[in-house]
Amino acid sequence: MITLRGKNTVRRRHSLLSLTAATALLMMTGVGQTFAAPKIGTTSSVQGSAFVLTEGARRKAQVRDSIQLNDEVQTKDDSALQIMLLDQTIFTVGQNCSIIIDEFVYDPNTSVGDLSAQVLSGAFRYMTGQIGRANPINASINTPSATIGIRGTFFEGIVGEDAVALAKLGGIDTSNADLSKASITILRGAGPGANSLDKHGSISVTSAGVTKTILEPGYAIFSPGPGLPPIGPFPMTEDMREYLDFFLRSTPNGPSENPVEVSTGSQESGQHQFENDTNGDDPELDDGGDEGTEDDLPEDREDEDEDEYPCYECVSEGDED
Amino acid sequence: MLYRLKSSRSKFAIARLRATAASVAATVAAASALSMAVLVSTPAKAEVTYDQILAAPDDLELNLTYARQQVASGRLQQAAAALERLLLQRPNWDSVRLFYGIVLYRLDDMAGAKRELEILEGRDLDPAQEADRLRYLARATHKSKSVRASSRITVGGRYDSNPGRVSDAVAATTGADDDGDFAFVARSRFRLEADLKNGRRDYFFLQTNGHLREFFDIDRADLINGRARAGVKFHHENGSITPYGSFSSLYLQHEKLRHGYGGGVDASWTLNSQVSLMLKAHGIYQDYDTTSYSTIGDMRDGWKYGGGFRFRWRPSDSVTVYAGAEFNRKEAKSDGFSYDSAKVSASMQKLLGMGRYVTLAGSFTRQEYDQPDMFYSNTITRDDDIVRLRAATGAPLSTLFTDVELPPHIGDIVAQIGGTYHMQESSINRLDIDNFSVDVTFTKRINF
Repeated sequence: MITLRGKNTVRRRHSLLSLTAATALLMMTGVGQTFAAPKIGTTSSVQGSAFVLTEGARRKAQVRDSIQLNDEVQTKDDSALQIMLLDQTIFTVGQNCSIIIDEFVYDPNTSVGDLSAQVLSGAFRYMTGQIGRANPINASINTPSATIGIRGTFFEGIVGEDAVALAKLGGIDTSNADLSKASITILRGAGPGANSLDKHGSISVTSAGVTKTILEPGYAIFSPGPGLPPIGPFPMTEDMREYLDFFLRSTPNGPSENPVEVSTGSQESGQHQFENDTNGDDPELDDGGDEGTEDDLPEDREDEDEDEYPCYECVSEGDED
Repeated sequence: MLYRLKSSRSKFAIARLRATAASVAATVAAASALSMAVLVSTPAKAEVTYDQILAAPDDLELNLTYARQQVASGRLQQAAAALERLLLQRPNWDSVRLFYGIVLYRLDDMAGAKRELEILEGRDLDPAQEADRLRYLARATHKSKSVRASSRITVGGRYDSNPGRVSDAVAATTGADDDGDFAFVARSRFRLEADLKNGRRDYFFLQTNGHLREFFDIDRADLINGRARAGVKFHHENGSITPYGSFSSLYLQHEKLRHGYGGGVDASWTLNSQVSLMLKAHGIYQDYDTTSYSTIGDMRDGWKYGGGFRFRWRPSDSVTVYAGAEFNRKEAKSDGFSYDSAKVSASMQKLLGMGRYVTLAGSFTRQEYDQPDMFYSNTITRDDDIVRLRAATGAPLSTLFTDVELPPHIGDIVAQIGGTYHMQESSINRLDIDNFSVDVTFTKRINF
């Protein structure tokens, strides 16, 4: 098996060159062998019926399966799967999804690389990895109707008739939508109010030469079809959220279990440190806005003008003279 | 011109500057040392690497440990992904779902947080977990509103060693009272935000702040101050810009002393996940009145404008360090009240868990007037050096009184004790002032 992971680096262009060279070598030596594209990730969770197509050969997906460049991952009804890429990018795909990662260049020493994926149908969630963090413009997702540029974030999307249904729930006119190629993209975080060291995210959706950007989690952009400009951003409604959750989020289906002891959520998440819901108070500027660190600044502040309060003495001294 | 030193008193001024600079440096050093100590004190544990997760993505314990480590390092997206993985495998692991829901809350994914917390209703959570679920569900619901209001009310007391800010020279020559005194203090803050619903988290805001200070015996420094500010916060991909208009009013000894109206622009720019740069510029017209204790009145009137910058550094998600500088110019009707000022400041805030925190702050301000103030001297132009040092610590009542089961709306009141040292050294020696104050306050927040 030939991969270019000697230095934990996978380079698509290099892999093609290497494959060519190796093929020539094998032809000269007369040794027949099966080649595999470089491994770029692993299936980390599989529910229901999911498949991986490698150069036309289909196999049932299992946990710990290798995912290679240009593999097509497919899920069927009531199925879901998570893919972990080498750069820490995570794809969670819901039922009836088809996704191909067609470009993956990653140098773990510098975290620099390129990532491109095609989502042909179905619902997916993307969480940015090292590539997206190091250089956000180098990570993108293509759907049949739009290109999604990613800036250090996690977002969800659906391609196909469910995207049209979702847009309808959001009150969007879908009369000209392409049922098989329309897509909808929804930013989930990390938003400007995030209380973590994750970079605040944004996504840009481009089609027909028009780009729309979302900075606020919970907003969506609808791309009706190839050659049609994106619509939005518009706020995700409760109905949209429920529809999307059905595809992408797990739901309890039996009695509670606790295989490993876990404390309260606020303690586990570190949120217990930020019990003061201070809404971003800034001890000096106190513009009261969300300076990116909501909840994390405590009570202590004095009005910035306080130092300027003319003490009685300062004001009245002259009069006493 | 700032920092020009008059030859007749340059040695004195230099010594003073050195002393004040040393005080500020000591504060900054203390803040840095504390923050570094906090950083160093993080216990070392065997790190679970991403490669280990790649090799065994279905290992529950490994994934849970990895999620906890990512939380500890402030990288919540990876934590969320690990928890999601666990829930795909074990959808009935309710305590992990609660963990996941609050991670999403921290990531500002309020819709996701609400979904996970709502779905746990009626599930088999222990009382502490259920209380957690309800608390964060309420917060996520509040933050999801497109029009939201929040308020804060603080009441307490303070003791000032020199509340009237009387200098030793004045006390010696006029017998003015420079005794210490206790005061009742109260502060309020109300803020209304309305989303512009453009998918960029832009919003309109209106905020009012009030401040009351009433001394028991000393009748020289009672004040009421109010300020209203309205503007729009526009976000861009790496920060925000906030133009606003403002109005303020100050009553000293129950008489109106000053109104101020104007506006400004605040901006922030995220340099990386730990460092942000904040800029501000403002122009305020200050309109003074004549009072029973001051006939100066409108001679102080005029524009005060200026700007500044500040860096915010978050070495970890529980430590925030600020450092910056600000410059102002006041153009008063009378040049004796016109001045330039420059201020450098640094502060550090450390969150200690369960709502406890400690803050340290220090600033140094140099203020130089244009001409002599005839009320003080016909020859000496007033220059002031002002040092302010402050330390405070606080915690919610529920944390302070763990043995008592306080109702949630009482337990979330934050108690704080703080101390401030304020020193002013001036070229006019009767304006050499120092004051030490200690304050104890209780703050209640209410969201609508």
